[in-house]
Amino acid sequence: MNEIFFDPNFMMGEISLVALIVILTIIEAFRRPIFVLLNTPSNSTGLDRRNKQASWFAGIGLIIVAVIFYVFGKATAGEHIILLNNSLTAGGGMYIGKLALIGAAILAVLMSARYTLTQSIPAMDYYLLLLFSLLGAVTLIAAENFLIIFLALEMMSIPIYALVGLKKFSTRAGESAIKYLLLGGFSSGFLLLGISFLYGTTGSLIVKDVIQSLNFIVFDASAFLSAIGLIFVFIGLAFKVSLVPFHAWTPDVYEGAGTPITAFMSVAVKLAAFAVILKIFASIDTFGEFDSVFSLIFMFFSLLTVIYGNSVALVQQNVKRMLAYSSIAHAGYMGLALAPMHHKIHTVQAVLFYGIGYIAMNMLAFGVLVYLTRKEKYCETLNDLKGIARKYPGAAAMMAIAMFSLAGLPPAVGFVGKVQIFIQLLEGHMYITAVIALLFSLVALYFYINVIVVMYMREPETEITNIDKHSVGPVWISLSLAALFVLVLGILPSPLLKWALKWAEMLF
Amino acid sequence: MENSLILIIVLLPLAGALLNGIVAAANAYRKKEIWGEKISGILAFSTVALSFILSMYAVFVKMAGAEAIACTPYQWMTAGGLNVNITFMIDHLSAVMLLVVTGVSAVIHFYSIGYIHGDKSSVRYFTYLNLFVFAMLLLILGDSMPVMFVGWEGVGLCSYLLIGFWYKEDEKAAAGKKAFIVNRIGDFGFLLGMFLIFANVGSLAIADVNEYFHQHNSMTFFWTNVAAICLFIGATGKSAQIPLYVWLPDAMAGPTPVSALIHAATMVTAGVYMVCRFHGVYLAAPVAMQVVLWVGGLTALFSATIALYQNDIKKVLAYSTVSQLGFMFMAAGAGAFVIAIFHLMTHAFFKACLFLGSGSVIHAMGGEQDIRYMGGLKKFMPATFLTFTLATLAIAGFPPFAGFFSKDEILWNVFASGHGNKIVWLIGMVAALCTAFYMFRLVYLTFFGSFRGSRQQEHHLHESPKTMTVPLMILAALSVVGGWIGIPKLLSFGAIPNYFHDYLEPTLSKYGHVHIDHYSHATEYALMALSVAIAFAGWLLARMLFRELKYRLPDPATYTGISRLLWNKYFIDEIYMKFIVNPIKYLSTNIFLNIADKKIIDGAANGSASGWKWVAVLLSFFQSGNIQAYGFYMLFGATIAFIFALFLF
Repeated sequence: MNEIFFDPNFMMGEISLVALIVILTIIEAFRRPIFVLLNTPSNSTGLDRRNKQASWFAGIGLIIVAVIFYVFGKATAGEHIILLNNSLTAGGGMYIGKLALIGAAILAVLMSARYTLTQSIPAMDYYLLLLFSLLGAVTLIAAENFLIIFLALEMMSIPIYALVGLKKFSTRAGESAIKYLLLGGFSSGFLLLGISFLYGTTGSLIVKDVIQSLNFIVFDASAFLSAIGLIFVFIGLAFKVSLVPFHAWTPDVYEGAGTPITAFMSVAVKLAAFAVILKIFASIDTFGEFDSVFSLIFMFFSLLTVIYGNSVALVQQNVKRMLAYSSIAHAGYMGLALAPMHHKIHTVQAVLFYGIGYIAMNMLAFGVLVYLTRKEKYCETLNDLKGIARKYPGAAAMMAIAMFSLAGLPPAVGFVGKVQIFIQLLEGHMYITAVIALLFSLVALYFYINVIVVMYMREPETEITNIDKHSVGPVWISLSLAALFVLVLGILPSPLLKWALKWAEMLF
Repeated sequence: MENSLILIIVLLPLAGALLNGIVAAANAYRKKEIWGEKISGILAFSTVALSFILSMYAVFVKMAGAEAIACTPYQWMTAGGLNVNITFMIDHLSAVMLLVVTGVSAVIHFYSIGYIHGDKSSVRYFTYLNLFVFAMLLLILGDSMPVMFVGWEGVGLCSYLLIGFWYKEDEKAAAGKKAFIVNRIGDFGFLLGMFLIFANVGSLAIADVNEYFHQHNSMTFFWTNVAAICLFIGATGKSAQIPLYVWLPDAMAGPTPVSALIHAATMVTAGVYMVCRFHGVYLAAPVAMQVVLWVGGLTALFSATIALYQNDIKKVLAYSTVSQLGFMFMAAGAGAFVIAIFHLMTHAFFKACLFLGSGSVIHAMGGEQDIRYMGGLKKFMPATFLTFTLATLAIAGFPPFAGFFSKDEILWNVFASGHGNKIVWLIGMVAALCTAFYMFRLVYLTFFGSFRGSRQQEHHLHESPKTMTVPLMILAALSVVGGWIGIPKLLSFGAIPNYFHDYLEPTLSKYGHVHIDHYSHATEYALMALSVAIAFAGWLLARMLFRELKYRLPDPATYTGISRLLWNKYFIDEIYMKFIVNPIKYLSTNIFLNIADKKIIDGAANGSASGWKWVAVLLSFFQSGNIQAYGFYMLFGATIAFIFALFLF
């Protein structure tokens, strides 16, 4: 591991992402003249046309960025360096995590192409916010320094607050955005306070140094302060991944936000925040008693999350809300892997694999909801899905795949993810925890399968109206890609497992 | 890759399922048929038939003389210290299962072509059926518990889809759901067993697990038995044993060939197969063996008595299946794993034949399933009658039909084995008596006497088409001769070798032998005679009561006493409903719904409300302090975390 102040090769992906943001901003600023130049005859209104073009720019731009991330990430994979005075790590397997996040963004953009059209949302603002959030997420997973962690976390979250409330005249969206903003601010307060405590007791902001110095602590008042500092940091991050009882915003915000936004934040924010949690807490392994405390904390809160999320999801009538509780429960499973003491690299591997798999399956589920949207009517409740399989068999099949995977049934990726987590628990000798988690994952089967039952085996109450024809193509591309990932990663998970291991190596 | 033939055997049905599935989806989408039921039926049948032929080649030619052949396409995953390979293995045990499953499946696929004729969703039907065969092959050929579990879940899923196949009728969808939920309870046991085994063995490959329990078992006596019982709970779910048998009779809501294939011949026997597969574990766990023995015995008797009073032709057969599975578990519990598999095989033949026969009857009766309205069908459908009767003779245990050899050996082993028990033997004998009685009751009420249905139905009566009667004949022939490969030495005076026993014994006694108490040959002959006598007694009793029905069968509503208890299946469904389902429902609606998530009700009430109302709701959230409440939750969580931190000191 080398320390270099700056080497553009290691940062080329981020640079290109910033460049894309700048270019899109310029286009947006001068769009009228440019649109006059690009003007093609079209029957749709001005906003629709601009939205379509914005989707093209954002989509193609992101794909180029993804390619740059891949090419430079691959080229620098042999080296592991720390950049900018201990701010960011780069090289190694890190690019896999970044690619996963960009993948989530690409899927979200593909869905948004349709969503912005059906809901008449100004698309370019929307994409810019999405890209800012993505930049925050890719920075967050590379952060080596508590201050950068805080900055990146905010860079990831603030655009999402705005995105949630982007539908200006929807009070539901407004309510969600305000709730998320206020509670998000509250949790950032926790995070900052925790960082200050840690700085006070250890005199450093660099994650590795902080954890190293905690190693030699004598158990006195300062050790207690360090513990409290770490707990504050934990709370700030637990809010982002929505562990119970820091979850309360999740159902309301997921329900109120636009579906592609919900999809993006449910997967990208979760993965990025978990990467940070792993970086900080998975290496606590080295200092005896701290480990037992955090083992207990992770076990308690994650188990509570699994129990609560799966139980409440059982009675939901709204699919988005059900998916929100399901996403809470999944955070619980990922957190559970951290419960056993003496973490190994495999713990990190398991959680990262689960997180990446979760991107594919959750994007798929939300994508189907986007596909089934009408202009005046969201497709959100179980009633809306009744009998949908006969009119839209493809969408129903996609939803079924997503539900299987979320439920953790083979051969989908969700099954492999659950196996990873449970093996961690068993190897850590946490049998009772494993049994309770298993019990609730069987409870969860019920509400996931219920969606399939409703789609395939129930008669619609009123005749199913036709869906809007706007930009169905991109949604289909995103659905097919996500479904492909769900199945291929379930049947052939070894490559991703190897990549997750490479990424995991970077976090220690 | 070595032995890629096995891979082809497994993948053929999957290919059929995929092709049919794509066509089914396209049909639904374009609202017209790309290809009809004929082609999809033939496709489904030919993939399974080809798979059967290749299996025969693999078993008899490639495997000749070898103990096992295996094929490992790739490594599935690593998880911590666990390596899971996708490995398909044919040893002598899975070879028998492989031949039975692909063979019976091929026959039933053929039958289905005639049966499902005219149904709009026939392509979807064949998709599920093929998928089922694929999952079943994963289950029996998978060389490690995770792969087995994939198959285990897969067959469950297909069963669920096929039970609810005619989902427009609510009852059928409900039956599918019931099967699903009950099986989850079983799965929980199976997974728990897997957890326990992994935590101690560190591997999930079947050979490793058996070897561990046989050679280096370092688990305590208690946990060894717990692990084995957990696995058995999985088996009770899949194989419909007490207390989880309730789903199987309801599963008869599915199409009849499905009942024959999945709920009689193949899937429900997966539990028996699993217990035999892990015989190393069970031989190390004597208490678990006793549990298997007793649960099997009690189930055999319990459901046989229920079958005495059922009037639905398929329900009788369903309870009979539960009872016969009980016999198989009795054998396994007594340590006679070979016999358990032997009965599994013979049962697959005669029970599939009986179910297909009942399907043929129902077909002719225009959907009527109540035997009180049948009678005298003998002259209308001779082929069905003949095959049905042959299969009945087999299940009742008349020599020399297939069921005689297997059932007699089960009872003998329960009587004589060191793990056996005389009380269970007695239970088994009574169950066998009931079996003979209810089966002949069924035959007499259906095929003898005069027709008791409506004139319209009588006019409609006809023999089923060739696609349906030919499979019946094949299965009936197998019900007759299928037992001859396992004739006990005692009976043939050693002249004919007991092929089946010799084939399986080395595989199934690899991890220890079961002690058989010594009895004189005279005792053995006497017991054999006794079981034949019992079969005759059951037959004569049924003949006396039902041959020429002189009276109307009483209305079940007027039943009293024991007959009421039996007609209502011991009220088990009602008991489960009252003591398990309703409390859970109560808990989730009243506790979780109302207290934990008030918002749903608000949401439902306000879902259609106009915009301003939402402002009011939004404001009311501020005023009622909802966000404060959320913030409070976080502080509450923080407090808990701090309390944990105090443990540092």
